[in-house]
Amino acid sequence: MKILKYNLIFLLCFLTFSCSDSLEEINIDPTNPTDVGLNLILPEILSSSAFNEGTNPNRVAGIIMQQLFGIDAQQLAYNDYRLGEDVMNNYWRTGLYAGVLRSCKVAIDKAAEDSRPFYSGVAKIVMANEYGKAASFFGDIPFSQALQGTDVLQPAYDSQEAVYAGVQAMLSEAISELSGASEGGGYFGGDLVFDGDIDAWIKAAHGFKARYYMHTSKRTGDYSQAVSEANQAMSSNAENASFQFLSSQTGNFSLAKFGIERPSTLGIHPQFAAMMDGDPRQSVYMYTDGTTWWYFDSADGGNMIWAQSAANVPMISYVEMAFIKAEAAAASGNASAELAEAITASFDILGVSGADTYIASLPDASYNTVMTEAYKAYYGFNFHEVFSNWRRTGIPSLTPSANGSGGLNPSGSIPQRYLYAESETQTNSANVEAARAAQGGALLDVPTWANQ
Amino acid sequence: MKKVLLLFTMLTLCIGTTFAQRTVSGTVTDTDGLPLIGANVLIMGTSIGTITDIDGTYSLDVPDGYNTLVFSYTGFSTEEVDIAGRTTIDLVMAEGELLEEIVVTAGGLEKNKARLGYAIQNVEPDDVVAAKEVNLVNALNSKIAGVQVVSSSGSPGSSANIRIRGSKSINGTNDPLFVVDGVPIDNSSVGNGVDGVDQSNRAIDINPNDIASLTVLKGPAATALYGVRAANGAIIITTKKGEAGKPKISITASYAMDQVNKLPEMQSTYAQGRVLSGVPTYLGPSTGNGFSWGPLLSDLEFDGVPTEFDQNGSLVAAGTGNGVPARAYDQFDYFINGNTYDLNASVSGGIDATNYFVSAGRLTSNGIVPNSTFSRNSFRLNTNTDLSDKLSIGVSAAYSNSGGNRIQRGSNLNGVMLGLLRTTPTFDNGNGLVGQAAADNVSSYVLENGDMRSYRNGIYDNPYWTANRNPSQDEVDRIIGSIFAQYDVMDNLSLNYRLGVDTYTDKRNSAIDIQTNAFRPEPGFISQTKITNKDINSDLFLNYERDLTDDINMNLIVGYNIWDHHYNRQTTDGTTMSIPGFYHISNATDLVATEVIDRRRIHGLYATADLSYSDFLFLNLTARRDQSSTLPIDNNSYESYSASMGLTFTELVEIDRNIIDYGKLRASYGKVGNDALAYRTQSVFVQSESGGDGFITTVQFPNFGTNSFERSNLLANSLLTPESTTTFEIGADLKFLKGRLGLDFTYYNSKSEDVIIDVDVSAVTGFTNATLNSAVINNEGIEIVASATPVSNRNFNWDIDVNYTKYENIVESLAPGLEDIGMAGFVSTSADVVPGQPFSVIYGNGFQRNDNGDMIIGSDGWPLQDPIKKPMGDPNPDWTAGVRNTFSYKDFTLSALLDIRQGGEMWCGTCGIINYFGTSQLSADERNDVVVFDGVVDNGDGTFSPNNTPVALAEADPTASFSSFYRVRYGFGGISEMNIFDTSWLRLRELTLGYTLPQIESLGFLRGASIFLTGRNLWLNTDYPGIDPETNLTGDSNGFGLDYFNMPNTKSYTVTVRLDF
Repeated sequence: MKILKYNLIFLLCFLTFSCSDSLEEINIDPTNPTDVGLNLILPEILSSSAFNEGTNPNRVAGIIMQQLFGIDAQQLAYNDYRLGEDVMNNYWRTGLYAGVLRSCKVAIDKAAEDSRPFYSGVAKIVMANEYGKAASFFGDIPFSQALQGTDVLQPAYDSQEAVYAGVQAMLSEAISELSGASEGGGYFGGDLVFDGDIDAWIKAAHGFKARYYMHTSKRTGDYSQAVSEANQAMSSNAENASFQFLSSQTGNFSLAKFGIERPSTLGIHPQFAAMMDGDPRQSVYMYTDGTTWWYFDSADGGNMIWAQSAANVPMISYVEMAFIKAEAAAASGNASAELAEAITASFDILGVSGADTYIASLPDASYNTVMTEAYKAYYGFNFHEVFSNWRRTGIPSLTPSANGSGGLNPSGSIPQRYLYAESETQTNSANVEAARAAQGGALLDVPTWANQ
Repeated sequence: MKKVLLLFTMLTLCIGTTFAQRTVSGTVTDTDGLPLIGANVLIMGTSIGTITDIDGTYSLDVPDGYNTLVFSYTGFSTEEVDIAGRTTIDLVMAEGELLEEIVVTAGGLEKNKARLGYAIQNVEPDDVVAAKEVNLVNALNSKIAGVQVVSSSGSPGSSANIRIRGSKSINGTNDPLFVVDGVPIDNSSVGNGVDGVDQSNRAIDINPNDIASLTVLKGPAATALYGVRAANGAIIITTKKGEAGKPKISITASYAMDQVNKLPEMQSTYAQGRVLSGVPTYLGPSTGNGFSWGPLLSDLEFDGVPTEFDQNGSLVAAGTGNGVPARAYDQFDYFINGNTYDLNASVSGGIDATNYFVSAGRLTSNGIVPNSTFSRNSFRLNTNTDLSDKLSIGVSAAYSNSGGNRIQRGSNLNGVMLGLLRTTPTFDNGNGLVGQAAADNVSSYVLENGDMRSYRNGIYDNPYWTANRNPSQDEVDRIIGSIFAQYDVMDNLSLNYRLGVDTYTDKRNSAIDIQTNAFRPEPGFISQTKITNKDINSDLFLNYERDLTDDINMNLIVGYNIWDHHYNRQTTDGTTMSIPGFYHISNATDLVATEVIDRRRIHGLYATADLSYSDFLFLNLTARRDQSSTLPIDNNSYESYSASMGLTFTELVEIDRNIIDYGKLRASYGKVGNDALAYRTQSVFVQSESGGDGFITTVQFPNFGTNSFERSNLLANSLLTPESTTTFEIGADLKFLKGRLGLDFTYYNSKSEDVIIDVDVSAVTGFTNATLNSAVINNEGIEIVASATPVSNRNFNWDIDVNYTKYENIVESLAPGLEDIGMAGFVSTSADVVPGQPFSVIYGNGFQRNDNGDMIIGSDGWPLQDPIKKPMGDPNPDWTAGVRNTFSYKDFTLSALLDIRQGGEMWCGTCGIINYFGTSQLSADERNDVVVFDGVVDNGDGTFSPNNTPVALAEADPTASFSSFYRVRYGFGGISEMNIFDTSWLRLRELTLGYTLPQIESLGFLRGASIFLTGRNLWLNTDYPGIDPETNLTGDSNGFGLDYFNMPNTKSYTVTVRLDF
């Protein structure tokens, strides 16, 4: 029978064709590799992390912080805090966990196998930053059980406090791995930010440590750690961890992409436009057609620094380091030198002249002024820090939308966080329910741990 | 066309002449001497015939050269009687086998339906052709119990979705298997997403005019022989064959006119603009304002200075212009009368041991949207030759060439309906012209400076721009063919081999032209796609038949099948065009190339045995073992089997024939195994993208001077096992009143287990999907086919055919912890599967409700949105029915097919958006309303009190800001719950009036002629507020119930002339 069967198969194969492949071979996808080198994994980690700087969570932060302003479509609803659980779904899924964090995890594991600490260090720095931003947006998020594939299909949520601690630990690990690495840490390409410069990455890691110590400063009441880290970080904008986007439609910055692909739906908040009147930076932040202030100049033209396709986007910058130092100084006394340095850095990164005149026009170097200046300086590339600063300090003073109350935001006040993504309700419901319960329902108006 | 009509007219005039013929008359009775009413009397070899009247008598004019009459009557044995010069022929007919309906079952075997133990239904090829549908799938609509057809739209060549007994698969196809002359063919469609254009499903390549028979196999007992690929049922098509004799030529020509059949109601009272500081303010096209919440038209007039936006001038406050009042333009004059020409010719016949059928068809369709087209050219050759007493070979081959120009639709700034329905009443898209004339005149959609002319100054495409500047063309070349050989080893044993090939290439080119408006600069986009698909089927089988005893007959088939599938799609997307209006890929600045390959192969060994005892007990057993490439190599085989039994109890026991003429009970049980999608056993890396936004496209590698790969978000599974569906089915087939009343009832219950799904997993795992054996899906339903002949006499006949379908398709469970899988749609509202819910629910956001189900209202009087999304609507109908009434009077036939659908909801995303923008009639009607929402206020202590806070829905409250309007405050398009509507409908799907010229065969060369007038979709009664709810945004995908600027559906009027020579 068996012989007959194989004869039969042979006959049929002869009559048809291409039977040379076995069933197993047929099921191997010829279009996708099963393994790739770290030099081909790292480029996407860096582009994705930089791309996230202009995607929905940051644009929404810009809107509720009254720098950006919804003109049309969904963005109009965001003006009034209609931010349902669908709004951050794409970011949560393919921007964050199954996006840049996934790739960082793959790189970290592979770097350990291949003994290439450079990639492990860089991936941990990027991963820590992405976790830190996400914790600031959502409060409690999965961390310790995340990215385990089938081993943990329904990961539990860690408290925001634990995530911030984990972020600091991860950055310390990265610094020690990079510091201890010999011969370039096994770098063989793919670093689109520093091209394998280990020292530059160590400075960036200190910069991120400074940022996330600031996030928790309201709870710790301590600026010294942040200042200490900022002092070990980059000392000029030339050392920023920046990603250079391109003018092409397949390689351009997300903030410009939105201007091109969702035209005329997003503008500049009139109050922010008024605030920037007379400020030399206004012309690189926004433009007006006479009636409306736009954040993106049509056809990708004009002077916009951040809302342009070929933007050079810092993931961490000297501007932020300088403002961290200024804030710490202002909290305890005179900050005029630090504020001047920070504003100079802001003008410098934008390529705008007239910093000195501008600094001279400021009334004082008070805490309030420092935070207000940070608000202006962070526009466009650091919306998450504008949001974080405002939630910590309440500066500048913002008036909530008159139509801001509703089922998602009962008090009508300016949101303190984003709702968890609906995909979590659908795939990880017990854990996300527990996280909501642990944070007083976690509606938009409930402050996260760091800002309570 | 004109010539055909002329010929037809001439022939009609000739008929007055008398032909040489004689009259034969007589009486037909049964063995008891009772007259048989409505028995068929036909002149053999012609379509000329009559039926007996109430006394059983008939009279028939028989032309010279014809000598045999055929008498037939349901429940009686058909008799052929030689006239032998007689003028009176009385006949006593003997009761015989009641149902002589021949069906084609799995394996291409012809069987008598009466001998089967499972449900199977034939569709008359005439009914398929008479539907005058371009797409074969649409032609099956409302004609078969248990079969649901949803077309995606009325666009030329658009896809249609067909489901037999609901859905079983979440990622894979739910399409039945289409089999043409024994060869399974591809009916996939590629590219029907929430945006883009309406693409075809590939069954559209079949020319309905070539079909000789079409049988629908519903359950596993019927389909187990095909194995996994017929897990969703099968549509078995046999094409026409030649018969020995002189060549017969048949020509059919038809012309159809199509019109849009239903559109949403739009307002014509308020102008473009929005509320600024509490005042509705006019904001014209140059401002880019999108809303129509402006002042009353009666408060505005023209200033008389022509502009490019309006030849009548700009709008100004009444009393400050030229006195010509503002006017509302009719946006729907965009739609034109579409038309379809369909010409088919065939020659068939036989010479010696060879018979042949050759056909050619050409169909050209122009849609209701300017510049939308579809055409199909098809050719077929079927031939069969007996090489010897024992060996015969045959070929069935068809070539088709189809394609057209498709127009952008859906969630797409370039979409026709999106731009059209958002257009404010005070803007004239056609700039003084309408329809095709406006589409052909560049001044309707382009300003002098080259910018697009549109109501929002470029933000949404003017639909006339879309028709011209966003081309999307496709061309499919396809060959479906098979060769067949049969060798009769012995009288009752034959060895058969069939090799089938279905291969096509689908070339697509589309572009979005450069646009320069300041409000929406568009750098231009060009895409070029080439799809090749190849399915090879090789079947070798033995067929053995033997009478085991006098009473027991056995038919045994054993066979071996190989199916090899190879799909390849190569796409090059180019962004940033250099030259406007030059739509070739060379004109793009940045290119991204992708390739998708799908390969699979199945080896199948199968056997089937039919046993019959006497003429009343029938048993059918089938078994099939498949080995599939898509499963892990160690666990890649699975079995399908079935057993079915039929018992004709009216043959077994004596039952008074006045009560029941014929009765058969059926029962069957079957299990069909199923494999996985390709490439699910090994995780891979894919070329990297940076995304995660949803509003914008991604950054794609290679880029920044390097390539990059990322781990795929699909977690593969090397431990997959086959899935299975088991079905239990019982039924009865009953005939009463001498066959004039028939009832066929089927109940089935099927359960799919270990369903292989790419389930959604928490993205926190680092994957978005994992391939798992999970999900249990249950499906239970009843199908009723009833027929009646209330009147049947010599000149007049009235038939009623009813089919009724009711089923419940419930997803019992998904993977542990998994609450939802999204299949199609948007971030806000989507078509999902949810455990405990029907297959495919509309999932979205709603209002908060307390335990009583009362809506919870905020202290400000507005309903509160629920932060958690939920299933909000069920698109599955409670039941559906098709009712066909056919009246024949002499040579005239009038047939009407009513389609009834009860229940089933649809998300009218379109409604939400046009209410939001203020262009809908509802937004005008509500504009001055102050309402108290029906609901309760949460007292904060667990109790609720009735809401009594009035709120102004819109402009009735001058202090309210614009974004507090009911239709605006919940965000873009409102929340899902506000836009879910019942789609119950009653529609006149087909109305056909036919006339067959009698007895003109003596003209010699002309054997027959007929003319048909067909109306399709002429009348629709539904409360659904949008376009015809029988459309689906995502075409023939698994998710349905979504309407977001879908292309509208059409109605049509067709005239068809058929001539036989």
